[in-house]
Amino acid sequence: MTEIIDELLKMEPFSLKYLEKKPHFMKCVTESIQFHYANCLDYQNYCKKKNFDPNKIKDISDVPFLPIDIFKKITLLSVPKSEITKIVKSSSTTGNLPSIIHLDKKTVNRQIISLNSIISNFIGKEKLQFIIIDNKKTLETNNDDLSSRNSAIRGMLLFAKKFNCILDENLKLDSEILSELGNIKNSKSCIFGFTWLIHQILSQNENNEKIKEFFSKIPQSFILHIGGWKKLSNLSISKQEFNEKCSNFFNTNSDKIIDVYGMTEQLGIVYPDCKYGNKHVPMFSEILIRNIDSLEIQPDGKSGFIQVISPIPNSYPGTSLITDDIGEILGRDNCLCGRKGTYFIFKKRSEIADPKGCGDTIDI
Amino acid sequence: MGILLTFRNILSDGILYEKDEDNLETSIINLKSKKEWLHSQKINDLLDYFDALGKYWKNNTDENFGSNLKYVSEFLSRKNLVKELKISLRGNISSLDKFVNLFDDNEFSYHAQPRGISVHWIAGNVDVLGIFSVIQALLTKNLCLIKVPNNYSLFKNLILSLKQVSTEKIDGKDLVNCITLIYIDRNDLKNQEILSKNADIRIAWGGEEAVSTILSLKKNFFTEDIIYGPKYSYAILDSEFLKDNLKDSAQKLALDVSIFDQYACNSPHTIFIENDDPNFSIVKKFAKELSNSMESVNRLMLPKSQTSEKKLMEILSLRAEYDFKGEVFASKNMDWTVVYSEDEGLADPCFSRVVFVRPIKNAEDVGKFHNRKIQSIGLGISNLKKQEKIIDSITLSGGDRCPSIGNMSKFHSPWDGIFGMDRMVRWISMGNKK
Repeated sequence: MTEIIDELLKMEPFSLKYLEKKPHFMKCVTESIQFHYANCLDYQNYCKKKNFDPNKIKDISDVPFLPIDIFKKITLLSVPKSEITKIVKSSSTTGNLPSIIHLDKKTVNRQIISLNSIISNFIGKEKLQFIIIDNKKTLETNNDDLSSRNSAIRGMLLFAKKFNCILDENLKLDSEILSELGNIKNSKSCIFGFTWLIHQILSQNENNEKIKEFFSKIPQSFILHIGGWKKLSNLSISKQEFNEKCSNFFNTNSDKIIDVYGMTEQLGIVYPDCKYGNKHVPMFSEILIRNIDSLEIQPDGKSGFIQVISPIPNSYPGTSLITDDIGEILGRDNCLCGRKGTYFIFKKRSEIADPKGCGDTIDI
Repeated sequence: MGILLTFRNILSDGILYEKDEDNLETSIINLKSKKEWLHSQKINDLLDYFDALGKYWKNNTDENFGSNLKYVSEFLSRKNLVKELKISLRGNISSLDKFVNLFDDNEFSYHAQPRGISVHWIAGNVDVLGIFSVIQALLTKNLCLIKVPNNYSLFKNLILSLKQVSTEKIDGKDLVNCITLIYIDRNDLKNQEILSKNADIRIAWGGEEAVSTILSLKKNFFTEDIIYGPKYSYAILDSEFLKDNLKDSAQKLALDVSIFDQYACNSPHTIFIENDDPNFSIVKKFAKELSNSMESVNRLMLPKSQTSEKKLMEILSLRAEYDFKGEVFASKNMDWTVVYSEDEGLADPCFSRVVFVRPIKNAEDVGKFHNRKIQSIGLGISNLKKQEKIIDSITLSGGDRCPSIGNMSKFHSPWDGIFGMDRMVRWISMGNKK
């Protein structure tokens, strides 16, 4: 049976204005929430505690949200275990648990269609030569149990006619591999990697003329980077600085550097930057900004926690998630790049630090 | 040329500087010059002064002094300080001024001399608690060199206000001269080491990381260490006690939780209710009642301080987790959270007014979760004999103080198992037989 979401996925991702999209999107979200409510008892109980009735959704803001890291603590499934075909784990810092996301075939298919639709809107439909800033072993993990880097790279290979991972096992540039890549000089290419790893490579090779020379022969590549800025927060490098460094090192224009926001907990939905530096919300999702203290919906132009809503997850109730990222909706339908719908930016977190004192025991 | 090490001189010689300087040793030499003056003050005159200071602070609890000052003012009353001194100084407070007899045999007389310079490392979240160690140091006639946290305005205001109080024998302006406030970055280990090497007493209020760093600094052979923190606190009540005291207990514990936003070592994170009802109905009822009190305390008495986005998200995540596996009573915003669950053991602290209510079959079973990191155990037990039995059993492996609920933040000796003022003096004996 075709579900409404499948119809939505056939549409161009940034083709409808916000208000035109709204009724289609609402139907999909309602369908998704009703599905999870009926098929995940834990989620149903959660909704009941929030006095939420899935048959009475008037607006997407009515849908209760789950904090993104709930999948680090609890396994939530809306399909029988036997239907799970892949398990994806988010990256996690030392001492923290990763999110564990269980995917069925239906969810994976939707993710592929969505990702294809969004990314090709930015880099074109023609398949490119991909240069992956990672080691090939990252791709070799067990197919049923994927790390976030693995699944992100695999997702991007949809757009690759060929690909090469150019880091060695210590995640340093492998000059042997680079020297074997002479034949890609005239191909249209895309450099892809995690933001922190690209930054690491840039810092290690700032004065490496041989490598710069290699990239000078493959001009105007797209650079897609994903994974966010949290791992770089200690270095206090601005996005502009990062783009300038990337642009010089990889010999491409800064408007070809695309910072892609996305999360393991809602794979398939990504929010790439347009050339004006705005992140665009596709047809298959919507974002809300919530006040960090009251959690009320913020008006456009005010910052708060980013809530992401997408009907793509089928195997787990990940339709409405609140993230710990701070963002601000800049506008709708009127970005100079021409894409319709909501667009937003990330904002810096406040400088407030949690107190540390005599009650601060590491473990008890 | 050597690299100049800067530190922030906030207050010295009674003058507010708040400027970067480059020679910490000079400030310390200057402070040392006040040693004789402080030593010459009589303990009764100091007690009069601090009693007057307590009254001054009580009448001036405002934005400059913060709302957590109530307990400090009570602590400073002459009656209380005499008790604190007596319990620490073997019953004779005059031992601070002169040689006194402590035993009937008159073989020796004893004098409690100050150790010298007390260096205080004050934790950012509980600056008011740091005031307690400063007062104890001054009462025992030790000079105070205080490393304040970077948000030091409350602490600075409190110390500066000493100048506003004078008694017949002591002018606060003179007493302030015995205190130096400085700020050093936590990573500036060179200056931290200068502090440590000049300390006759090192007093550290802080978390695990901060205290470990302080303890790793070089010190003099005879320096005394007084470590306050890192500690965890909780409360135990029994259902019998709650039958008659449900509302009152909730109110008292809401206060204990809310003071210092739960960042202090004495703030309770878990509340155990001893209960043999399989439905735990009184435990759930108490959790609900506690939530009402948390709201009232936040609204009417102790509004919550600003919280980071990271902590707010942590609270949100914890609420969602227990929406799945327990019951959550929470403010509409992120101000306070009461989590009911039937989990075993001490809950991991979330801080920021998140308190866990858990049933327990036998209160003595909490003992198996005890270690030296346990500090305060708030009590609401129906029967004193039973209470003594529980406390004797569970404190064998940890737990330092067992106040009644509602008094968990009330500073008294011993604290963290230490009679602080006893550790701040050197006992001198003098033979009386000719």
